[in-house]
Amino acid sequence: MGFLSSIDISGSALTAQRLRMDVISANIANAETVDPVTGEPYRRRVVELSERKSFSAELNQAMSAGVKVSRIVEDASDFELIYDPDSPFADANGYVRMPNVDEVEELIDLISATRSYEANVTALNATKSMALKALEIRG
Amino acid sequence: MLNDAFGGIDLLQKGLDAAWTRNSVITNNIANVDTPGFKSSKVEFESSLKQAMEAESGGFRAKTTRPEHYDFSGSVEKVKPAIVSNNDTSYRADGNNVDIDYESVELARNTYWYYALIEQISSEFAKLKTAING
Repeated sequence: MGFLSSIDISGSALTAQRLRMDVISANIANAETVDPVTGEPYRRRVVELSERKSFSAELNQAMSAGVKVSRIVEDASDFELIYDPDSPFADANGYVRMPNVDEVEELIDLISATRSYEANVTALNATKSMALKALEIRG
Repeated sequence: MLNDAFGGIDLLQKGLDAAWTRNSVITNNIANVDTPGFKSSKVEFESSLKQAMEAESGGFRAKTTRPEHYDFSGSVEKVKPAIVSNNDTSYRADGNNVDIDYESVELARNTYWYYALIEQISSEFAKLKTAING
């Protein structure tokens, strides 16, 4: 067990949760965004997390060391339809497709990501204080 | 003689190693609190150390005639912290079983346990120093 591997584990989680917050922010910011040329609405994006394992750990089925963002996927759910016959992108019935972003859902995810971030900061501080305390051993 | 004097420190050092490994495991559990399908792990050490210590002080032990024979007790020197994965439960619909409250409590408990071991090691050294200096 490396001396500071715990700090690395917490660090990977901080990066992952921060990216989650970034993607959620982008979703909220683009909740009304439609491509001005094609009329294609913005698609909600979701961060997928997975365990970060080294190759040797994978071989030995050992413990993973932290978390990583495996990919950012687009939410395939249907776009929202709003009635706006004056829009240049309206279909024959006067409906315009708008992004599939639900602001309430995004805000709840944002709170979840923030709390996870805080939990990892607490874990990081615990590791730091332990490492510091070990330096106090005096012969 | 001097080996005996360091015996207690060796034992405490094992405890420190276990506490550090446990910190790593708890940290990893917390890091993966949002990972789908992740199963939490824990460190088992104290119970196996107790078992080995009891065996060394006259507990059950199998007779061994070759070094590769298993003596069913394990000596104290050989006891290592073991990382055990908890694969049997699911805490949420995504298959994750990290209980963040449990992990937070264990993190705090482990940190102070580590502090206590450090204090004990320091006091062991202080005792040795007193004995040396007179």
